[in-house]
Amino acid sequence: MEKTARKKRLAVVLAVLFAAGLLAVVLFDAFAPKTTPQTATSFAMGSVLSVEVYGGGEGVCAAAVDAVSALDRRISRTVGNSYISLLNENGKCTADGDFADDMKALLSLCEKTGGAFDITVGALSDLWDVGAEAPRVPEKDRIAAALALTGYEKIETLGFRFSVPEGVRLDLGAAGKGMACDAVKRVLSADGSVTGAVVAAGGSILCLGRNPEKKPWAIGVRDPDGGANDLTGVIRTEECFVSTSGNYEKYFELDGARYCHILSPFDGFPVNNGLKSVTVRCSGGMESDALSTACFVLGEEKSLPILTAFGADAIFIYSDNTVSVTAGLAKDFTLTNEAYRLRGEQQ
Amino acid sequence: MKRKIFSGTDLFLILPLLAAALLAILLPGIKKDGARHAVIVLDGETAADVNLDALTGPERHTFGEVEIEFSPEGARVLASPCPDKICVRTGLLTKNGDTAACVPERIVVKIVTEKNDIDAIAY
Repeated sequence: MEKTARKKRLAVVLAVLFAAGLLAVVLFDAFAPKTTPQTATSFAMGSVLSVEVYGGGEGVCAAAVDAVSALDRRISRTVGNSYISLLNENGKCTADGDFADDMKALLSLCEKTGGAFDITVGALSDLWDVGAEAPRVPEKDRIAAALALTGYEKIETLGFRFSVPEGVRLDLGAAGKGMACDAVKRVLSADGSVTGAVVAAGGSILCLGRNPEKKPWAIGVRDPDGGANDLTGVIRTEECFVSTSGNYEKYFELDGARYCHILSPFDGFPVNNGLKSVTVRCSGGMESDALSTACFVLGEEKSLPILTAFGADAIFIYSDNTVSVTAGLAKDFTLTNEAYRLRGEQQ
Repeated sequence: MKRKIFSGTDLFLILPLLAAALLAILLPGIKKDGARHAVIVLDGETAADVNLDALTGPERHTFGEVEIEFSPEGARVLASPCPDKICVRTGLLTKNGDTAACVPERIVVKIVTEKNDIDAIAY
């Protein structure tokens, strides 16, 4: 009888201890101070640059912003004396090693995407000027003339020296924000004590290291028909770069037709192929940005071998509100917007 | 003799467990959301941090030439001299991470709470 009572007392003590332990864990999780990131918000490349860093030394965010500003000064079309401005105005420039490396990587991307991503679309961009106050569709002969000035093969390279024929205009707008993410990654990795970071250069994203909340990073994919903060779905992912190209950010409408800012280097017209957007996830910033543009230009079928070659994955959002996701992203992407459905699923 | 389902000692065992389980379910939801703030960043510097939950009605403030309305519902850019008005068209910002940016005026409005569902938006 006494033995039973002792057992019961022991059970009560154990239960109370267990409950107290559980409570302690819950209270700690709820009330312990959260890891606060170092943050910086700035402007570069005509977009907002947002940097959130966990861990890292003092001033690491400022160093990241400085790196993007320095990159902008080298590659911007609108900054006088940038290498791109020099090439566009004088037809030639002698660059530093970083720019030469970037140019080689960019030209390789142009080649590997079969010219769907092309850094010489500047003459076409100038002609269409989609962001202008009163944009219009240019005459066909002017489009043909601008198209004749387009083609990455026209860029001549000799070591650190670059030259282009007269009239050829370089525009790195389709890769610049991804390159900004690469630049930030270099700074944060060199710091040595950064445990995690989320960087957004415009709509190009870098997720670095570990999320302090011990879960995957959550990257929203913008709803092309919604506001700036409306989503089609969410990618839950480990360290990676994510970029999106779409027809909804910069465009004009005329006689019921939409003319977006992404121009096809093949026909000189804004891309109009039934896609609203393409989001690419891969291991490089420049690559993710350039590939999202190339895939938007090419369409899904022609994009797949290129994505495979780069070890990249993509989400294609179509005008009929269907969504196609490549195999590598299927388990990481969640559709959250009821207006859309995954291709292959029953309506 | 009719036997009780729980004895007094059993209740000592069950009640703390129930209380702990209930708190485990409720507490994270109560605490982690925290207050919603609208943070205004002007030219890279934080220009204002408004606790939206502490407001009782809409308030309008001007930063440079950009007019912003703060209310218990959220924050929105009401007017800006920029040409494309993307910031104005973004509309009401309500959720954590919702952002409106006016690049020409170098101003960013962002909703911030402790809860962090989405880390960034690709667009």
